[in-house]
Amino acid sequence: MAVELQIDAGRLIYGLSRIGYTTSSAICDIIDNSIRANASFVRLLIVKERRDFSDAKKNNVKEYLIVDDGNGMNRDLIIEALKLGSSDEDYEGKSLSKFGLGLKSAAFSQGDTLDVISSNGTGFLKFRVSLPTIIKTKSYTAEELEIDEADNKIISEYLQSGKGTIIRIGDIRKNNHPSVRNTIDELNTKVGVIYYYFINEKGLSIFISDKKVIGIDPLFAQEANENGNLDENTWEGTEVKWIEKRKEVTLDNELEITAFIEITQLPYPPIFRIKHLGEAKDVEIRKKYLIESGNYGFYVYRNNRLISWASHLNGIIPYDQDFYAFRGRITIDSSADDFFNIDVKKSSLTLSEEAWKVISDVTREARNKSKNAWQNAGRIRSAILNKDPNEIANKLLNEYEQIEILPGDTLPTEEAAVDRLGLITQDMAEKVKTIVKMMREDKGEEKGDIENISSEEKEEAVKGEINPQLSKIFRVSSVPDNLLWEPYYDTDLGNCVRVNKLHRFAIYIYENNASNQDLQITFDLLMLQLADSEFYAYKNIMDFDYEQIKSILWNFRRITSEFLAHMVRKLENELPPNYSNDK
Amino acid sequence: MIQTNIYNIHNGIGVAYIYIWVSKAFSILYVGMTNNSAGPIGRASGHFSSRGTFRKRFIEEKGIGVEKVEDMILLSFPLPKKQLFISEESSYRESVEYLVQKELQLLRGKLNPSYDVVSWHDRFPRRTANTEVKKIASEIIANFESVYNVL
Repeated sequence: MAVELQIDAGRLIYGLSRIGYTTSSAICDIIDNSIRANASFVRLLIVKERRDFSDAKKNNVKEYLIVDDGNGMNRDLIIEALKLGSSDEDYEGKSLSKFGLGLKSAAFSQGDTLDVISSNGTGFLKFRVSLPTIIKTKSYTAEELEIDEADNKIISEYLQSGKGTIIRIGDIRKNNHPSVRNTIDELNTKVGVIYYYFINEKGLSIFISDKKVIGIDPLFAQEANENGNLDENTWEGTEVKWIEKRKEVTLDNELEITAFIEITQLPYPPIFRIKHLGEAKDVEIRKKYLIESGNYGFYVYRNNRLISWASHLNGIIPYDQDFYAFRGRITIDSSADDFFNIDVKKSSLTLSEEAWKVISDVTREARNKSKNAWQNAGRIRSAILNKDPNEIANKLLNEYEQIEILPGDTLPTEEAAVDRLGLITQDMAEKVKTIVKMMREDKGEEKGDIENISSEEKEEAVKGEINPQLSKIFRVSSVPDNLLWEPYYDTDLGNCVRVNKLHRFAIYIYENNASNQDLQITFDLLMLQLADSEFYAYKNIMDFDYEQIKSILWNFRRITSEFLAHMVRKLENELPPNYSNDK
Repeated sequence: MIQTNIYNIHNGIGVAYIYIWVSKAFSILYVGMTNNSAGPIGRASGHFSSRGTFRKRFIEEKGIGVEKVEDMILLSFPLPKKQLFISEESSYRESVEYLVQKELQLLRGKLNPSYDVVSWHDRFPRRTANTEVKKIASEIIANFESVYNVL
């Protein structure tokens, strides 16, 4: 036999009011109802306790009024809306509502009284729910009141059409309540992000006091569309880029539950400080793109309304400054509610295990890219601050002349020398074709016509970039057979070296030791000397034929490249700069 | 007696592989690459040993040791016999492995049964834009997709 259990309405409402709403999240929960009622405008009015006090003063709000021109309610609907767990029969699939508790819990989280004044065209009615009365009587009731002068003023100013709703949260608690200014500032940003789709795509106008809120896309996708995809190895940090364009992800195949994920990389503010000295541009950029500790992570939109601000999604995005530029958006509808468990406040969510796994997997690359890009932008910034060591190494060589013939060696005859130079030149002509082909492939292009190569493309392929400062030592992305270095010669440049900057050992020197400029210069010079030695052997050693020397030297380079790659792989965490005497 | 045919994957001299360990019963996939001279079978000892990543991840995900899995299958995909792919310097090989892994993650909801890819690591290879690397990875994925249902 079922036994009916009593509910103490006073304690229940009191408990609901303490579930952790902030002022802005409470107001947004009420704005949700306006949107659900098809409002074209929503206006927040803040009435101060002492009008003469500054907006910066805390504990000086008397009441909040949220006015909308939506469908409005008749008597029955107002009473239904004031019920706890108001019926979800009317909640359509795309509704912003979820529990039927929002209006009440949000209102009582801020103040002691809740007035609902509404009309669906049949005349305005007013009901009040008072928390102190409920606590006293232990019974959940509302009182019907006459429309007063203050109400009429608002109706005549904003709701002349005779339709709409006014929610008044009165008797605001003076317990560390935020100042009017803080609330307005916070809401201008939060409302802009939370209702971005409604403002920008559905023409909703939201006013916070007198100011119209501008929709803010936290991903700045429009800018990413203009700037393209992120290349984390070259991104300087000045532009918003796509890491992952909008992509559908299946959360459950059988139930056909899907979500959309998109991710952008926002700018790297410190680069603006050095590019615009003395202009504090970095501060401007941080403000514009909301780049700060509480704002990186995933923005989850349910039915076009933000339900989770910069969520780290249970550890998917680590708490680490290197992720400051990471902005993800997950878009779901109500069908995915079982995978994204949203709290009553609609301000935080817990992912189901399956959703966590899917999102964690699908975004792993994006996280790495974002972090690498942020770190690389830091290196680019350092490179601008400390002149690029590669350029310094090249410059040092301007004054340097290599030994022509070593003591004890015999100069080859002129005929032999011309013969060897001819063979070298012939090899190098073939090499240019190979490295142009490799460069095109690295860019994801087809190899195309390699017989007619422009001088610009040749320079880019040989040097890795078009840069007149580089005359001898070139850091490039690919070297045939993926060796660490290879000699290069042409009549304009003379003997040069191409260093494979993506070889494991080169990454170790150039990236793991990015702050050690001296090491990089020395390494670049060593590479050039090794290449130069090879040319010396081709030109001066006549005991072996050219092909034999070539084969031996290629094998020497192959073996050295492999040994160095192996060493770095095995000793990755022990090598400088990680080395310490304590180990 | 248990007979297992490994004749075509124990030779790693001059050839490197992308391989995928599959357990449908436990919904687990592990992607790897190797230039081990004994091929994917030679590499397997590392994965299944007490300190192996695969063993570790399997326990983290499923709570049991990998030795309990009765339907484990190894799929091996030989890479081109070129210095770029067989060398100790592994950036090309790692890039193919990475693209394969990423595509498998995207396919997980579409294939039946779904699975977890547990072979992730934090290194992000740098040659994933390379035409040949992309082509090889998509061939491996197409191959995998075509056989997954009948494994």
